[in-house]
Amino acid sequence: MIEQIYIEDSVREHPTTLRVCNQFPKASIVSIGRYGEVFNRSNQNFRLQKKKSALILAEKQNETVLPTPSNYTIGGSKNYYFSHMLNCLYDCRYCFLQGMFRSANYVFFVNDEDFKKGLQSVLDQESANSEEPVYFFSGYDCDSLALEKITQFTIHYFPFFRENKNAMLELRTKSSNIRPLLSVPPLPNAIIAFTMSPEPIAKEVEHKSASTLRRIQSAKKLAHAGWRIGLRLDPLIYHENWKENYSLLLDQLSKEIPEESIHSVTMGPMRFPKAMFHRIQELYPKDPLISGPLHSDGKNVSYEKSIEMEMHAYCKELLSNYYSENRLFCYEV
Amino acid sequence: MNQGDICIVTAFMLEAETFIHNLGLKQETVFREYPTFIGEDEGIHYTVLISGLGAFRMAQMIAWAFGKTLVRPSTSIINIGIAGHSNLEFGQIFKANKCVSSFSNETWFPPMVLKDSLIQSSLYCVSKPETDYKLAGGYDMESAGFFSAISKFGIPELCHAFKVVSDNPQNSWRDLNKSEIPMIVEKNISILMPLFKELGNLSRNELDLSTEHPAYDIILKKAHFSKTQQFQLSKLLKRWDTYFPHSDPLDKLGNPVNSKQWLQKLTAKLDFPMPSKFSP
Repeated sequence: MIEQIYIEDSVREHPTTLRVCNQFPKASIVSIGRYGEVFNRSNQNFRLQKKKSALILAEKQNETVLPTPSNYTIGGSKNYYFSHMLNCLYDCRYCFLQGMFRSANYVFFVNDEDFKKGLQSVLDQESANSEEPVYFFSGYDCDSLALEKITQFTIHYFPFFRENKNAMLELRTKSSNIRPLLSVPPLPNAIIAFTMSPEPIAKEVEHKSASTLRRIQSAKKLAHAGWRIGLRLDPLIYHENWKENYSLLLDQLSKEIPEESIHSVTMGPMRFPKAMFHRIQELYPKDPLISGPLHSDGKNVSYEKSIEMEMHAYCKELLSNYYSENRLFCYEV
Repeated sequence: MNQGDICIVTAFMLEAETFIHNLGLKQETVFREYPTFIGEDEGIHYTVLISGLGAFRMAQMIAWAFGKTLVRPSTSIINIGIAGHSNLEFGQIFKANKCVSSFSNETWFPPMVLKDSLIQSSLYCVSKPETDYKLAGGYDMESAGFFSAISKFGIPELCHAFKVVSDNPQNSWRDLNKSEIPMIVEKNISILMPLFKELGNLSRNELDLSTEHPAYDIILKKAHFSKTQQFQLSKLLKRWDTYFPHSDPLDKLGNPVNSKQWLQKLTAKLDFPMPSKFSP
């Protein structure tokens, strides 16, 4: 699966580096100074690299844990994210990563010990004057579970959250790779959040990801095992028969996943910063999603306000039929 | 349908002979600056260019080829030639996965998107033939010029350096018989041909994506479009192609009198809030 591994000199002897190299004995190894030499180089083609992404093993320097944008919440007021990985196995056409990063290679920061120090530091700081839980989001710049076989995220990071009950962890994924979660006792302070899209969208837009049905089945199994589930209808995609498709999706979700297992349900519009959208448009000039009825307000590119509002109102109404108000977090349009 | 486009660049005729013969290329006499050979094979357009010795000449030739439109951004440009190597055997082919310039200390990492099982190696670009092979890897005299130029003008994912080992610690470059060069390149042609095919396909896909809608040139002749407007027209027509693949915009837009009207009418048609169609 991985045929090319770039390794920063500083982590060449790191135990995780040695483990990953053992996992891929046939991969070609290239030594690099800093990951930016490969990852941030100008004139790279994200679309072509997506055909065969390489793995970059690197050391995360400076800040490991950062505050989320102000509206990024699932109920808490103290929200942070950390990215042990940059980029994703999947190839979702709406994903901001394809417009944000020049390279489609996966960067895996192997120094989890520094991330845990960062998490502890933020937690100590935030807990000094308040007992309110602190939320940490891990799936901001990657899919939390898709490359679990390589990252072993659950092995490296779960002990921290087991010891720190006041730290909430959101794992966000489109993967059905739940075996690592089923093999350990559920973490009461973790939310396994699945991006859920109508099946035609999963198939035609969320390339290489698990089908909607498999995601639902995975969420169901986890719920039965005692894990708390998050449902993320984000972004809402305007497409032919969208009303029927979102109704069907919500119907399936409510039948398969018991409401008491649901921690939170969020939904949000599809929006791109203008410059990012133009980069994506250059990569995929004839893609139906990118060619869709999108509109620029000078700063962001999104569906026409009327479409956004109609979808927001319709899906909010749908969600409120199935889930109690305190579980719903709908980003306003 | 567009054709894949490959340009093979070498330092010497001896390194290029194999390709010229096997692909049936003919010399293009219009260009006197560099020996140039052109032809087609299995739906791929090939150009072979010979730069002469050294990284500077290689970079200069690639820039020249872009200037003469012998190559374009979607062309797969491939540097093939002989190289010394610290540990690979004489005649072994390898692909450069890292190129280090001994003149500037610059480093390039060619993106590895091909489905091949070629041996990979670092490649050090030096100013004279290597005798010590102190650093593990290959040694050549053109690759820094090659990577420097393609990183500016080309699509790096489509551009690669393949080298055949001509000398190593056991076989000095001084003992290399020139007549052996075409032979060791020829021995690797069966490895290279499938890669050419793959690169040709990738090149064709890139060209397809950048090819303008058939109506683009016709509309440009009907009104004066500024550069910005040409760019807007190009984007709108590509969206048109996605929305209405079987419909000719010239039939649907009436007779706009100027560029502004053309863009307005196209925008109006495309901004009608119809949902994207995805097959279930």
